[in-house]
Amino acid sequence: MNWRKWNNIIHRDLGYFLVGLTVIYAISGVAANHLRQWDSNFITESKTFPLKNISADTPVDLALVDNILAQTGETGKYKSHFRPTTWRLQIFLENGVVDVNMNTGQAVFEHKRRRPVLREFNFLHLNQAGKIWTWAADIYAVGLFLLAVTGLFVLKGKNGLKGRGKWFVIAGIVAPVVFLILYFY
Amino acid sequence: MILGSFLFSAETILGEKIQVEKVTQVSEIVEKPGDFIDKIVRVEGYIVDGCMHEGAWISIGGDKDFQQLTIWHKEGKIIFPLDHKGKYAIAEGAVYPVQLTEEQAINWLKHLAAIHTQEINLEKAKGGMTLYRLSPIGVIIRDLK
Repeated sequence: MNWRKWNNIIHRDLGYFLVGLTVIYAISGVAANHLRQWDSNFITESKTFPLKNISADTPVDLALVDNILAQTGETGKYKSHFRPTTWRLQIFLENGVVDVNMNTGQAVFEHKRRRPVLREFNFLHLNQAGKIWTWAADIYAVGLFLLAVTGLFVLKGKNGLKGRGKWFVIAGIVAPVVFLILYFY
Repeated sequence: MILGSFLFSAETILGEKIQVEKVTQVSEIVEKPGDFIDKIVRVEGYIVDGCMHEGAWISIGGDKDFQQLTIWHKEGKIIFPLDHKGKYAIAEGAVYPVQLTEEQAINWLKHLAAIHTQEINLEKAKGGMTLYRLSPIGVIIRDLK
């Protein structure tokens, strides 16, 4: 069997094998690229409540915490509270956080829940597990490299690397180089 | 995948196993940070703030009002889960100083005021600022104390 046949077999079978992970990395890649515009990991649910008889001068104690929770109707189990500033109070519940602005008398209850599927995709793509997954991700990267290199030699003739293929390869290299020149150097 | 995320949510262990048993209060470090530079300490507290994009850092509330301690690995080797707010953290690590020029200090204070939970007082930035953080060796994050 000549080398091109082996090349094409590797390219084909590696392509099948890696399609699952490539879909995960592609979707997560777009999500991670826009992390500052959109939280792809969590769905944040928040509710705002106006509070009565609360000001920056109100003494902060458990009685105040109970009062605020009663006004907001939040029934999650109380864990703790903390004052980051003189006018702000955070109440930590088991199901979320109530953030109180004592100057404006407003409380915001925030609850985060994991965005199904995307959270898991990001967890894998960003290697948040570490350990064995680091090796798996490295093997995937090597697989992608082989997929790219074998892809160059799949076709012969006018549609192959010596024909139109070379122009696409050059364009694919020139694009990132131009961006580097514009934004990096 | 979904089962894995449930298993992952009870307690998160990051970095090395925590060895120090004695807890140093956040107030001790905040009030006399120079006494703790490069010393390995254990701190605990509810997470009151943190980096919501990359999970680069968290802040734990102290035993006294208005005091927080930022836990931030110097080389970025420990990344915190993004749903950290309101959870309880136990961290072991060394306190280190971060020197900011006046311009850097102003930008830092403005950043905190705009996005996070701290009052802006630009007087603090005059002449530059020194921030004190804990670079963690090991961290445990869980729902309850």
